[in-house]
Amino acid sequence: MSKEEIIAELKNIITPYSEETIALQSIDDDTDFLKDLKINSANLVDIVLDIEDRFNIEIDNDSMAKMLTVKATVDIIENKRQGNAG
Amino acid sequence: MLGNDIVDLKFAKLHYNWRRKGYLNKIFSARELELINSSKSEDTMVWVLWSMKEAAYKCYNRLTSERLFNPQAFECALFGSCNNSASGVVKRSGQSFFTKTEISKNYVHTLAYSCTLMLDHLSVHHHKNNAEYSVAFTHSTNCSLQKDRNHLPEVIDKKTQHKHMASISHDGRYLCIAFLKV
Repeated sequence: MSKEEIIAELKNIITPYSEETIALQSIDDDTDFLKDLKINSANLVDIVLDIEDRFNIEIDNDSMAKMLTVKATVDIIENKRQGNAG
Repeated sequence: MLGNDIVDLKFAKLHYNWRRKGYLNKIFSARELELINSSKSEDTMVWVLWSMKEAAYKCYNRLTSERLFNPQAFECALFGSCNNSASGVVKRSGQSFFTKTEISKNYVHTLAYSCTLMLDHLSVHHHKNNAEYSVAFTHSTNCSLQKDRNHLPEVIDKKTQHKHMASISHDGRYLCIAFLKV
């Protein structure tokens, strides 16, 4: 799965939790879940659980702590997927 | 240091599904889960503890500028709770933040402060969560809201020009502004 595919999948996961349609359309590495997408932190938990289900990975607390931007989240997904494959 | 957090219980019921498998385990410690399980209203206790963590996070963020989503690192303990209020402490990295929670039919609102005595010196203003809240706040208090140099909210008294640290929280239908009067 390429980085672009991961971002596309991430966008599908995030969309139901954000009403910022313009920010969603222009989603990139620097997009901040709270500041740009105005996602409620109670829904960040849902996003973490959705990512676990969709990518078949387990996200520990230290990783979850960093998941506030698209870039940090994609890095964590890539790392965990490599861990699974190895 | 000051922080507040409001949860609109009706909005929460529709949008935050804490009964989802794995949800509570991402947020709460074993001890906190026990508080929830042994509570008369699990639904209320989930949001009491959640708002305590969020309000304490705002205090901690003010102190350290650290931006992390780590609710498990904020450990809640309750001194007491009844149908319409709760008081407790949230600990994070050796820091204690004392909390006072108001519980109503419609919302749960927590105030957190690094010193327990200050909790009684906070001014709390409830507003509708819409674009006019700032005007409504100025109208009712004769104070205006602005951002300090760290982009955190502060209140300025129009008459005396005194500045006060402030915290703003909104959820669903509600918005709440808390500031230190002294």
